Amino acid sequence: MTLSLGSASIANMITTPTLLCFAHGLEAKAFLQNLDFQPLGTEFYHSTSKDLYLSVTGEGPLKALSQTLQHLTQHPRIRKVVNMGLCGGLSEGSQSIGDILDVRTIYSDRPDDEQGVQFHSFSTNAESRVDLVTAWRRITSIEKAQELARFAQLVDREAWGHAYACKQLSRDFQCKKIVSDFATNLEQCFEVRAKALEYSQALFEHYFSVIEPDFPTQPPEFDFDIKGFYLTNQQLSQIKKLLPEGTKKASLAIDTILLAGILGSEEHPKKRTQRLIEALRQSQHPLEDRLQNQVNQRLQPLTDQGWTVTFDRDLESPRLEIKTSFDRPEEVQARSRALASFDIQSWLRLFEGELDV
Amino acid sequence: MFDRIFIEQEVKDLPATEKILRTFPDLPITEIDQVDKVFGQVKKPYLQKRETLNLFLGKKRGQLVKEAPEAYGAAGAPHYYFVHAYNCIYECQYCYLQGYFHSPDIVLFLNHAEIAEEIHRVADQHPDQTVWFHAGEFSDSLALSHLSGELDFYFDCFKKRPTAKLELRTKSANIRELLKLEPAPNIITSFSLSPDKASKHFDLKTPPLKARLAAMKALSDAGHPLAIHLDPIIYQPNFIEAYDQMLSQLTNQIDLNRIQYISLGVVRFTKDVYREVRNNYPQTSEFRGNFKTSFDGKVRYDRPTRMYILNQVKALCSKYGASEDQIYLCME
Repeated sequence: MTLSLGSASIANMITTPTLLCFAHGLEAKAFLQNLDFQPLGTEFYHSTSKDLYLSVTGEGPLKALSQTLQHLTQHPRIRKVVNMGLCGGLSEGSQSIGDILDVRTIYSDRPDDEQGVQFHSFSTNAESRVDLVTAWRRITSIEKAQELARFAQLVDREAWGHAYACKQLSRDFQCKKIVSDFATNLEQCFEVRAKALEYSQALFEHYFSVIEPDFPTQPPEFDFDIKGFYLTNQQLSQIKKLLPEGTKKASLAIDTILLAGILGSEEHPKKRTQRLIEALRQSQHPLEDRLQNQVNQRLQPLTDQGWTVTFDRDLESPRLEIKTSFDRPEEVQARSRALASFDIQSWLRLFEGELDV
Repeated sequence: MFDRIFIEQEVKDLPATEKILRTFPDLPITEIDQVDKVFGQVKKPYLQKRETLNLFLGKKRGQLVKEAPEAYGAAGAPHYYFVHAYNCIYECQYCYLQGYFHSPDIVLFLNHAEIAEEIHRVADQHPDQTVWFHAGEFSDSLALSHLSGELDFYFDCFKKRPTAKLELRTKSANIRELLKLEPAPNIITSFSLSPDKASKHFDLKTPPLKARLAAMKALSDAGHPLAIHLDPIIYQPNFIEAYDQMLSQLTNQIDLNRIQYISLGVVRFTKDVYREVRNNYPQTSEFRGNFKTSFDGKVRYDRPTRMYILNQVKALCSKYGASEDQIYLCME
């Protein structure tokens, strides 16, 4: 496959600062040769025109983890990490040498020679059925390969470390691997080094043709794109929580009839915002809203007469605590009357489900 | 249906294993020492069940029959559950299995003789009581019954023990195996039902309400005792109309008097499961807000809301002919 990789066209596409991670320099070679990377540190590069970072971390999950953590903390503007490189297949037949695969879930074996794998796994957003296990040591026996094949189809030496770092720092993570050999065929690993440059070129071409043909921008933040309201940050956050998860534009998620009713009023934009929040809350949780009204109604005879009423805000227990203070004798009488006529049975019935709805 | 089969060496020569393997002649098979050396050793994301699911065949170890939690079944009798499978092929959005095991893979335990022995031992401890045994605590009792093939075994077991009762809980319409068996008065098949729209929305991959009702009718006609779980009820503004319609559909097919019991329960989660549910189904607005940590640490609606919902559905059951003593509230 031949690709046109004019730097201008690529530069225009990249908008999300991304870190590319490789275990070995040979795997990264095509990227370093074809793009304008400048060193920022040991085995750490930046392409200014493309805003792309590249790290050669060394082999093993600990090196991958520590290097990635370091880069992400020193360059917090990096929002995404892509781990690319060679991997081994764990069972011949399902994959072929040279396949470039999107990894779905990444497992890790145990660093202490124990059988099995570590409990924590990390998932990418890949729509793939291919999983990978990161081995703490090189696979030197068929038995070990067979053991790991119970959990995943591929094996590498670093992805779990990168994924761990990304999880810790809430960065997007993607993992693309090219199958270079099979762990069940220990002879093949000698051929891998000879073919490393070819694999690097394949990964490079894949990156710009398949993974990021059109580098996505950061997903837009929530946008309250409706005029006629005045919102504090707290109110903006409240509205966001009341709309379906992932809503980017408020106008697309708020019922137009409800909105027209509020916008048609003569109220101040601040007041309108409060009404909008109330209306959204009611539409989301109509029963909760009515329940709150009923709680208020039933306690009103006490609160109107100056009693302070404390109750279980989770409404799990009907227990009430009431207190008051007096300045004048008539207050004592009024509050005593309110307490005597308080309908405790009505309050208790509320907890048996008697909601007048 | 499955990607791979893992088989414990101890069960590999059992007839049940051979039967299952004949169903999937092309699947790769891996022999393992014990299911729990592989299953649940890693956190396998729950929603991967949509694409890749493994099948484990093994032997249940440890406690084979466990005491059910309080308010699990009808009051006044001891309740136990036994475990002959882990996980389910369906994907109900509220399902506690998504936070219980660390893998959605299906496990079928095949040492039914040992489980039955333990059932008899536990039943012997209650000579003067009707003891209930529930299957399907960690799986659907019927969904894979054509594959797992254990129903005839448990039917034999409970027919020999008429004072004990067996409940097979299901959301399935897979009654083929059950219809082959002679009904027994102490073996009750209980169907979890939700209104059609709610079921389509929350109970992904389950048979539609219509299919479940048809399955109930076929079993009822064949003389199998039935029960119903209206559980979990999830609040939606039109829930009264929806349950009314569903009970109308049900009673058009089966007289409620022929139903042994009806359990009612409102949706609830452990904290871990609630976190998983929010994570797995972020778009489901019904699981946002309005939930509180209740008396037993579970995440539920507040008590007035729960009781309101239960009262409404209970009243509907009465409207359609259920008697007061047929109905019990689950986990309340």
